[in-house]
Amino acid sequence: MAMDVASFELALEEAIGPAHRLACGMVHDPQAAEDLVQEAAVKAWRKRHQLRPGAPLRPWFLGIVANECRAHFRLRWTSVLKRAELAVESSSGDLDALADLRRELLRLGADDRLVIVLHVHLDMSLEDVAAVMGKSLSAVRGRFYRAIRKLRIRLELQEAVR
Amino acid sequence: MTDHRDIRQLRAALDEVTPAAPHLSHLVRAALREAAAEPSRSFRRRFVMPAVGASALAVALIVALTVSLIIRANHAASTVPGGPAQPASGARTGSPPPTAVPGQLALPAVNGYDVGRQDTLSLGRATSATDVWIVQKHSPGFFAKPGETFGIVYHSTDGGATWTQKLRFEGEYDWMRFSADGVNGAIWGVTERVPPCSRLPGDCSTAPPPAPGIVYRTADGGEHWTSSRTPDGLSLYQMDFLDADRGWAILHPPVGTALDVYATVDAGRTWQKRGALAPPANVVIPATFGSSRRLQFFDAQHGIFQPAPGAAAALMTTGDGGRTWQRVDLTTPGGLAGPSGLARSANGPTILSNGTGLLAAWPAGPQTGSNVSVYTTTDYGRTWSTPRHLPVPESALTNGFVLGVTFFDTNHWWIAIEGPPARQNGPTSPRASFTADGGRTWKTLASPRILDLVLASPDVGWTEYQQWNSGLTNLAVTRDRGAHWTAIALPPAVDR
Repeated sequence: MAMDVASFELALEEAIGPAHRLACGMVHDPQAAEDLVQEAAVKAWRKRHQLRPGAPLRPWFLGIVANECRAHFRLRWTSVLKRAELAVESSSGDLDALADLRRELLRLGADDRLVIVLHVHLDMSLEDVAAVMGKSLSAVRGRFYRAIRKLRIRLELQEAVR
Repeated sequence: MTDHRDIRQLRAALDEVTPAAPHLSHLVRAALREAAAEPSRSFRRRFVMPAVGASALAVALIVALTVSLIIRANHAASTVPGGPAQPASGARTGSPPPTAVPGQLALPAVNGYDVGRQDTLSLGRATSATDVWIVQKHSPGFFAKPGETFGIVYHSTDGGATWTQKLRFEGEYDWMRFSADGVNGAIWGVTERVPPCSRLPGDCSTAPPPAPGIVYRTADGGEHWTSSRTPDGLSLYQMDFLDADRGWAILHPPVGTALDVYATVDAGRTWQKRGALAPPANVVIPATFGSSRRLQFFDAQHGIFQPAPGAAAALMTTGDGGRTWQRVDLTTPGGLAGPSGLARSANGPTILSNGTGLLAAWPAGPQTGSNVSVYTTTDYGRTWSTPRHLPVPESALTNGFVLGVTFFDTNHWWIAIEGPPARQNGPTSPRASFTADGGRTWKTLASPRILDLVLASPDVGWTEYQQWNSGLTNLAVTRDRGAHWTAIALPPAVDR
C-alpha cells in the first residue's frame, strides 16, 4: 500500500495510546513498554504493504505490539529478575493483593496474558480481541475464561498457604 | 464466570504499571522518521558491512582505551590533591556559550523529578529571573489511593538557589494566579483522578466517584492558606481564576454529557451556576479533568473555552461572564493538512490587553516546524483573522516537531522545536526560535527540550525541560532570550 510517512503517522497516532497500555500490561515495565511501542511502530512502517487497503490499522498494529512483547520475554534475561523483584514490592494488604495479581499475570502464558490485557485493560470487546490475535471469537472467549480461572486458582492457593 | 470484583482488581493492578506517556507520540514519530529515511539495503550492506565496521570500531576503542589509561596513570602521578570546585547541592549551573544550530545543548545535570516515580515538575508564577513558583506534582494515576495524589508548592526569591515550601496541595495541581504584588493568590486543581470511564450514560459498569475541584487561597503571600471545593456530586472539568477571588469552573456529573459553568467571587467558598455549555457535536470531550489551561477568563465578562485538548478548530467564547457561549469557527490555514491535522497540534489562544490575542496552529506529523501559522483577534477571540504563515527560517525548523508556542505580547514570541537526531538513535536537537517584531525576523538557538515555558519578561523565561533519555523533568531559566540557559536544582522530591 502506498502511504507516505506523514499519512502513516497520522493513521498510527490514535493507536499509540492503546499500544502503550497494551505493552505496559504485558511487560509491567513502563520504560520497556515505550521502547517496545517504538520498535513496533518501526516494524509496522516496514511491513505497511502487508496491511490490506481499507483494513483498520489499529488491530493490525496492536498485533505487532503483542508480538514485540512476546519477543521481549523470549529474548531478555532481565525479565526473569523483574518477575522475581515483584514478589517483595509491597507490604500492606491491598497492595499485597495487587502485587500478587500482577505476579500471577506475568506467570501466565503470553496469549493468556494478552487476552486479559486487551479485554480488561484496553476495554476491547472479545470480537476486537479476536481480530488483534488473529483467532476466532470462540477461541478467544474460551482462552479468556480459562486464563481468569488459572489466575483465580493460583491466587486462592497462595491465600491458602499464608 | 468472572465477577466485577475480579475485573476491578485486574484493572487496578494493570493501571498501576501503566503511567502516562505524554511524549511517546514524539518518540514514535522520530523513530518512524528515521526508519523512513533509511534507504533499502542489500544483504551485504545490512549485515556484512556493519560487521566489518563494528570490528574496526572495536579495535579502535581498545587502542584508545589503552592509550587513555597510560595517560591517566602518568597524570595521576604528577597532580596534587584538590580538583576544581563542584557546584553545591541547590547551586545553579550554567550552559555553555550559545551553540550553533543544529546542535544539542547539554545542560549540566542537576536534581530533577523522576517521571518513572510519577513525579513531575509544573511551573507556576514567574515575575523575574529570581522570583518563581513551582510545584512538584506526584500523580500515580487513576487508581491512586486517597492522599497519594498531591503537589508540593515551592517559592524561590533568589533564582532557585533556595526554595521555601509554601503548601502541600491535596490533589492534582492545575494552575495559580496571584495579584501583582504577590500577596493575594489562588492555587487550584482537582481533588483526585477518576477512572477513564466514558462520560456517555450506559458505558460504565459502575459510575466513577465525583472528583470536585479544590481551591487554595492566600492573603499573605503563601504563609497561610484556606481551602474550598466546588459543589458536591459534580466533577471538575476545567477551572480558571481572574484573580484570587473571582473564578469559573466547568463541572459535569460523573457520568453524562452535560457541562455546566459555575462562578465564584469568594475564592471558591460559594459557587453559583452561571450557564451551560453545548460543545460542537463533532468534538470528543475527554472523559476526565485535563490539566491544560483550556478555560481562560480575561476580565469579568470575556472568556474562552477549548472543549478538547488541541482542538483549536472548536473554540467557544463568552462575553457575559459565562452565561452564554458561542462557537467560533476558524478557517484552516493554507498548507495545513485540514481541521483534523490542525486540531491535534494547535496551542490554546493567548489573549492580551484590550481583547487582542494570538493563536498558533500547525499540522500534525513531522516537518511541522516550517509550517506554523498565527491567527489574530481584536475582540477577545470572538472572531479571528485569516492565519498568517510565519517566515521562520527553514534551516531552523525543517524536520522538527513543534513542542509549543508562547506569546509574551504582540511582538515577542517563542517557538520551541524538537529537531531530528544528528545520528541514528542519538539525541534529538531541541531549539527555540525567538522573534521581537511580531514574527517578521527570527533568531534560532539550541535550547533544552522545552516542555513548558513561562515568560517573566521578553528576555526572561523559565522552562520545564527534559534531558534526552534522562526520565527527569528539570527547571532552567534564561535571562537573555535563550542565548544562555541555567539549570536550576529542584528541592528533593517528597514521598508519600
